[in-house]
Order: sequence, then structure tokens, then C-alpha cells
Amino acid sequence: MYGMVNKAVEDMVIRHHGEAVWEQIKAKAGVTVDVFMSNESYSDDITYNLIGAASEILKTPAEQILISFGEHWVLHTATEGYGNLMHAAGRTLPEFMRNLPSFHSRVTMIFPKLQPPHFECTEITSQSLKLHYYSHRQGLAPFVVGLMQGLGFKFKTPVTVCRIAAKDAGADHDIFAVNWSPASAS
Amino acid sequence: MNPATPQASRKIGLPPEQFAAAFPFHFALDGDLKFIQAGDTLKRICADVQTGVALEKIFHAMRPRGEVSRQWIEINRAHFFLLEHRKTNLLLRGEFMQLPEQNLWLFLGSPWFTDSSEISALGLRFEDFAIHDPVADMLQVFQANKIALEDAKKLADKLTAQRAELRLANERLRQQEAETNKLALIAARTDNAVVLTDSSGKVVWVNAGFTRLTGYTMEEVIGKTPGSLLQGPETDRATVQYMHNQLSKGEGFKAEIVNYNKAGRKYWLASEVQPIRDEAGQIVNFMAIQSDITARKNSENLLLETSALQRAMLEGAGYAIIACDKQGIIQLFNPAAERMLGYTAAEMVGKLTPAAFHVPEEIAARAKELTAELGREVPVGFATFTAKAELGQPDQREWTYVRKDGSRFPVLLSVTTLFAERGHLIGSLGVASDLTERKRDEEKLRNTVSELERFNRVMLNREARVLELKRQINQLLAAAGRPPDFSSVTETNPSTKLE
Repeated sequence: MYGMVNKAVEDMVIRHHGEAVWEQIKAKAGVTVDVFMSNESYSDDITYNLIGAASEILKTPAEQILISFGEHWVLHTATEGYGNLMHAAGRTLPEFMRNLPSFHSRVTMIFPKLQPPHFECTEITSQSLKLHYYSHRQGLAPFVVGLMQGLGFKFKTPVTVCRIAAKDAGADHDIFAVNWSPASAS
Repeated sequence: MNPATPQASRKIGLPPEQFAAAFPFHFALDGDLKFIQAGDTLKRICADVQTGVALEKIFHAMRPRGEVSRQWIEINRAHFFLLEHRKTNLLLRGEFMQLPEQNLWLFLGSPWFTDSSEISALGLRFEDFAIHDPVADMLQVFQANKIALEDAKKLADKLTAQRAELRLANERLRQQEAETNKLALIAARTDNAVVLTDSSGKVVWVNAGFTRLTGYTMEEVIGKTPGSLLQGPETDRATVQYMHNQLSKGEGFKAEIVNYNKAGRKYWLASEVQPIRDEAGQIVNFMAIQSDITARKNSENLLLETSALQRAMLEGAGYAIIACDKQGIIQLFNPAAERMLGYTAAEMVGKLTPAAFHVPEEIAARAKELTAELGREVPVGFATFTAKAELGQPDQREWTYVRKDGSRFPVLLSVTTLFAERGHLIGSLGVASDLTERKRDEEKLRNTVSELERFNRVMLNREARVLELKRQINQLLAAAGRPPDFSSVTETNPSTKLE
């Protein structure tokens, strides 16, 4: 994964638990990198190990950490790093969701080593859509839930996210039913 | 368009709606360079782009340099143009194309951004750009580079800080190493035994001094507790318990204890033990510095014995023993002196001189006598007592002491001067015996002898008369022709004659 993912994990841990806890997590995960470079590609193991170590040290299930991480990604990582571009991608949750696949495709073009997930939105209505999530990586579905919840906070549009198809349960890919209140999304 | 550009093989035209969607930032000018058409997005962003308004009033020529005019456009047709919207500062990058048959100029281009904040500031969305337009992607590249640059700067800052820390750490390390080397040298060369144990008290290192003292080499003691090797029958159990308790509490201590070396020789050991802690405050080692104090202990014991003997002598003696400093102030006043003189030691020591219990006239007379004897002026006072003794001569004579109650008694006082190691006078010591009894005995003896002499005289006269009588009886018997009754008293026995 690109360094920006690990950097975001670092930022989230330090923001909520301080430098000392981050150093503990890094030590437990066996990670010796001092500074993650956003545009450098790192082994996926680093990210998985960091999440695993954080789960142990913070005594929080990995799934919950991934959900928090998804929210953090939207509210801090993307907003602080690419806020203007996110703004250009949509002013409301439905507008942003419509642009999400092409937004992600554009990112793919400028990070050639990135093997990003692929998103598709179907059955778009004024208050719901189905989000199709295709990824070669395992176990990151809670991260997607966190991303959607984070977007809900960002656009001040409370969302409910429900996984209705799971790749790890044999489905072709994960599908999430995303619902929001039409009034708040207008 | 560059005139050298090849022509398309087929004539292709776009319907107006598709043209507008494909070029949302285009505009068309008439022969006087006045707007006749513009893309929807451009009109939204630059509201003053209106039909009939001159280009030069709305846009300023950035590249190529020059004034906005037909000539400027014609001359530079082979180059790209950069126009700045006078009101919003929006930069449009593109090219002018002439449509000769219609005497029109067409500008095809897109906004030029160098920072993603500009897109936001102008209120643009991705949807405002044509799908084929890579400007939005370029912005992402810009942004990614900007973040990468920030990462690199953060990394550089961190590396700089780490280098500074490293330099400091190196310096500290160098100093510590120098200090450690010195300490190691001291530990190795010192005559003291140095023992390093782990936190449980097991030896991890000893110096050569330890081997010299105990006879055990480092290999023989590593992993063992020093006590298990060195303590023996005369080792004080209470001290061992104290040491054990201090170690358990992680506290340092000093102790003196009897140990035994490898050959079984007993020796006294003074040991100072200190815990060594790591940065977290946990005890990692104990360090003991030990020295053989057998000689000192022996001296102390001898001194104790000598002191006890001296004390017994002073306290048990029948003589008054009175020591003075060189000014004559009494420093010691033993129990016999207290009994003799009626003063307590507390009343005398550090306060008075022997003049307190001497007869002043005797001192004056003695001073005069000594002045004559020694041929120098001997002052009246304490010097009178020490004048002779100072010369190393014995000074023993009778004096009269005056008790606290005023009564007097004779003493025989012997004065010795006290010299320190380098020969200078530090005081005097007087030993006095009470002569009262002796004087009384002498008187009694004199009386007895006198009585005996008188009795003897009486007895001698009486015996002479008896002998004369016996002799006269013998003479009478002889005249009567009879043998004498008292043959022992005859003329032939002169030994019986009285003188």
C-alpha cells in the first residue's frame, strides 16, 4: 500500500493516543520506518501488522479500528491532503458518491504502483445507493464502512451502511447498502 | 493551429451542444476581437464575458508578451497563449484558431492551475471540465507532489533532528566511555576488592583486588553469592541478616564483617554496597567496594583493652591521680583523688588547677628552693610543680593537701611531665599518696620504742639486784662451808656478771 495509508494510521493513533503509544504499536508490529512517504509503495504487511498491533495495544477489535480508520481517512487524511479536490468532486454526499469511481480512477493514474480498490455505485436514488467494492485485499470491508460514515460526517448527512454481500462469505465482491436522509443531502 | 499540422483525412464537425460540452472554456471572437460566443463554464466563472465586449477589456495578455490585438494573435499563432482574466485572475491556456471563411477567431483552452486551492477558490467542479481535459488530473499530480515534498521535508527535518541527537549522544557516549575507562582502570588497579553482582546478588564480575584479598579467581566466583564462599564460624549472623535485609529492600549499606579467604584465613572486611539502577529505576546490579581492615580491627581491640586497663588502674588505684594540661588546668581527677580531697571530678576537671588544694606558702617556699637549686627563676604557681619534672628529673616530695572542708593532710606527690610524640610538653601527671596513716604509724612506732627502752632500763636494774642477792647468798653458804645454791652465779662464770 502507499505510504499515505500507513501515515494516516500513524496520524490517527497519535491524534487520539499520543506519540508514546504509536511507538509501542510500531515496535509491536516490528515496523522500523521512521517517516512514511505518502507516494512510496510499502508492503501490505506493514499496514496489516500496524492494525493488528494497534488492536492489541489499544484493546480494541481490529474491525472497530478499521471503521475508525475509515472515518479518519475521510475527515483528516483526504480532507487535509486533497480537500480542494474532494470539494471539486462534489458538494453533497450523492454528488460525491456519483463521482467517487472516477475520482478513484484519476488517483490510480497518478500512483502507478497503486493497486486501489475499485468502486461502483448502482441503484442511486435520492436517499440510497448500492456501493460495490472490489479489492484484492482481505478484511478491509470495515474500512469501507468507516469511509462511508466519514463521508456522512463530512457532508453532514448521517448515513447507515449495511453490508449486503460479503466476499469473505463467498460473494463475488462486497456490496454495501448506503442510506441517508434526502433532506440533509440536498 | 500550427500551419504545419497535417490535415484531418475527413471533414468532421461537432453539433453546437457537443462542441460546448467538449470545450467548456472556449470563446469565439469576431474580426474586431469582440466576443460572439463562449463556453458555459467560462461564462459562469467570468461573468463579464458577454457578446460584443472586446477581448482586451476582459483578458490581459500574459504569454506571448504584447498587447491584445489581431496582429499579436497572428504573429504568435504557432505558440500557446496564456490569458489572464482581469477580474478573477483566472488563467486560460490554449490556442487561437482562425476560421477565415467566417472571419472569426476561435480560442480553445482550459484553465491553468498550479495549486488545487485555485479550483476551489473559483468554485469549479470536476464536472465543469471536459472529460478529455487532463487539467483536473494535473491538479492531483500537483497535490501529490506537494504532499510528497512535505513528507520529504518532514523526513529531512526528522533526519536533521536525529543527526543532532546522534551527535549529542555520541558526545555523551564518548564522555561516558572516557569516564568508564577511568573507572574500569580504577576498579582493576585499586587495592580494594570490587565485586559486581546481578540484582539477585550473584557475582558477575570481580577485580584483581578481590582475588588478592580472597584467593578466589573470577571464574571461581561467577554465579555465586560472595557470602556463600566467604562467611564462616565467626561471621556475625546479625550483620549478615542486616546486609540481606538491605539488599532485599534495594538499599545500599556499609558493614564490617569477618570473612574467610580461600585458604581459611580469617580477616575483617569493610564493605560498602550500592545498588545500580537502569533508566527505569529498576535495580540491575549491586556493586561492593571492600577492604581488609584486619590490622585496624586488631589495633582497635588492643586500644580497647589498653583503655580498659587504664580505666581500671585509674579508678581502682589507692593513689590520687591528677593530670593537668600545660596551663595547669586539671584534666583528670580519679576516684581516689575525689575521696582524698572531697572534691568531685566534675568540680575540678577543666576548671581548676592543683593550687585549689595546695597550701600557697608551701608552693612559694618550694619555688624559692627550686630557684636556688636550678639556678633560674622558678615562678610561684603550676610551674613550681613541673619545673623539675620538665628537666626529666624525678620530683617526689611531701606536700600538704587542703581538703574541700579545709582540713589538711600530708601527701607524698610524685610529678611526671607528659610529652607528645614530637617532644613538646602537653601537661603533667601527679600521683599522690596520703601520708596521714604513715605519719600516725611512725608516731606510734616512735612511742613504742621509747616505752620499750624505758622498760628495758627498769628490767636491767632489777636483774642486777637479783644477781647480787644470789651472789651474796652463795658467799654466805661458802662461809658456812656449804655449796652454793645458785651455781649459775659464780665468780668463774663471768658471762653472768652484769656490767
